[in-house]
This record gives sequence, C-alpha cells and structure tokens, in this order.
Amino acid sequence: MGLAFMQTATTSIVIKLATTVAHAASNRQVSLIRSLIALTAVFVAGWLTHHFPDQWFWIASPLAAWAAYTTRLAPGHTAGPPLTSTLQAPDKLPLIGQVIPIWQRLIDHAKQHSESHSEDMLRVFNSLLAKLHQVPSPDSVQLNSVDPTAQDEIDQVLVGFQAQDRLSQMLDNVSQDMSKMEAWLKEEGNVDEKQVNEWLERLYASYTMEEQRSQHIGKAVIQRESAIEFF
Amino acid sequence: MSKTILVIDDSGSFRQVVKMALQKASYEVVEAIDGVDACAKLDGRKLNLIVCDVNMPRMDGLEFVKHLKTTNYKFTPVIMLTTETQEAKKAEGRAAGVRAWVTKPFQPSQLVDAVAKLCAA
Repeated sequence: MGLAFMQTATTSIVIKLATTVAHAASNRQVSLIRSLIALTAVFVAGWLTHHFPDQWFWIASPLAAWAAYTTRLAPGHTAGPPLTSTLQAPDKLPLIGQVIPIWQRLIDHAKQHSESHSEDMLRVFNSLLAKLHQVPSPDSVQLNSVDPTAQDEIDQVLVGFQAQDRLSQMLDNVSQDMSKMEAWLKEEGNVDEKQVNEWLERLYASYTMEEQRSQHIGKAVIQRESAIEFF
Repeated sequence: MSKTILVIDDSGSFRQVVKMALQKASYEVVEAIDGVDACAKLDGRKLNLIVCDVNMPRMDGLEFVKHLKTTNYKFTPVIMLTTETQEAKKAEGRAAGVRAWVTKPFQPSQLVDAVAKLCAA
C-alpha cells in the first residue's frame, strides 16, 4: 500500500489535482473580476443617469458601452443586470450598489488566499520532489527514512488542496449569484428597499461557509482549525 | 478483510482526496457523485460507513441520510464532511442520525481516526 500510494499520490495525482484546481480558480477569478468591473460600470452609469439627467449621456454612455464590452469578454459569466433597463430604472441601483462591495470582498478573499495556498503548496511540492530524488524508488517507507516529515508534507498538500477547492466553490457561488440577481432584476418591476433587503437576506442565507458570511457583512474572518464533532 | 466506505461528494477531485486518505489506511472506497447516485449504491453490498457531503445537486446529503434511515442500511454510521458550518444544519444532521460532522478542510489523519472510531463502535 505504501509504495502504490506514494507513486500515485506524490508524483502524479496530487500535483495534477492541485494544478487543475489552481488553474480553474485563477480563470474564475479573472472572469469574475471582469464581471464585477462591468457591474460597477453599470452601477456608476445608472447612478449618474439618475443624479445628473442632463449630463448623463456624456459620462454614463461610455461606461455602459465599456461594461457591455467587458461582459462579452467574460463568456459564461454575466455582468449582472440588463444594462438598458438598469439605466432606466434607478430603483434597482440600491441592490447593485450594496451587492458590489460584497462580491468584491469575496473575490478579494479568494484571490488572496488562493495565492497564499498556491505558494505554500508549491513549496511543499518542491520539498517532496527533492526528497524523492534521494530514494531509489518512491516508496513511503524509504522516503520517511530519508525524512520523517514527508508524510506531514503529503498531508499538507491534501489540506491545501481542500482549501483551494473551497475557494473555487466560493467563486462559483458568486458567479451563480450574479446570474440570479440578473434574473431577479429582469423579472421584477419596481424594486423597493424592502425587496432589496429581502434579496440580500436570501443571499446571506444561501451561504454555506463562514468565510462567505464574514465577507458579506465585512467582518474579519476568524481563522479556525479543522474541526470534528461527534454526536 | 478490509472495510468498505461509501464516499459521496459532487466534487470529483474532493472524492479523490478522501479516497487517497482512506485507501492509505487500507479501507476500500466506493464513490457516489450525489445523493441519487448514492441511493443506487445501496444495493445489498456491504458498507461499513458512509462519508457524505452536505451541499450537492439533485439530492443533498441530509436528504440522503433521511432516506438511508428507511433502508436496510439504517444502522450504517454516517460522517458528514462539508464546508457547511451552520448550527441549524448540524442539528438537522444530528436529528437525522448523523454520527459525526467534519468541517473542510480536514487533516487526513483526523478523518481516518473518525472512520476507525465509528467502524469499531
């Protein structure tokens, strides 16, 4: 079992998994950042239209055009609300204005932690590969005899991988929530403050991770150890 | 004879991580991609324990556990392995008969210890 595990886990599967997830997370981040920028442009354009009706065209129109262009650059991800209807319906702006900073915080959180996990995992891979070069065959017994910390490093990779998986999941949720908001704004006529608050409450209730809840309310994330609870 | 664990998670890569940790500890692993797929795996085969995610498409983990309790596998211990930290969800799991709740990310040794403990019980 030791030999088979080390051969597969250390040299192929773990590295493949980690790089796949890192790439996926990175692509999602770029795409989501584009969508968020587009959404912000829509918001600013809409706000200007509402507050400066005489001058809106000169400022808001290029923003809206640019937002539309950015949206096209992010296939598969929406920029949120339909541009024209949002510009003509200022009652929908409060929701967009409130939700942009939430998504910005979630994307920032994922980006920051993804970079940090990637660096940690790369360091561990390099260390493991250096150890593997010191043994004639990639056997866990031999590897642990060269350095007893090898098993801990493999465990670190598995934990790091899970952390990346969580971040990917978080970004997927942001993408889905953007689509949900777009659909909701399309369906609704006039949106009042109560409906906006209810939408935000539903968004909060849909979260499954502490990080999402913390970022939603702009609170620092409490770092905690992995936990197991027996019932 | 090695013990068999059913691992249910919609993330293929995550199933792979759990599988690696359990196989290293000499457990046999059967995989399912969600609650519906897991139901199909309750086909008379011997299962010593089930490791299950909570949030999954088609049939989520808690629905699956509730269904499990109506089958011949009702005494098979279940560990929920999830990003979900809401106390309400944990309480729902506990009421449904879940034996342990592990929050991702987990240390492989923690999962293996929990599996060993519940398989021995």
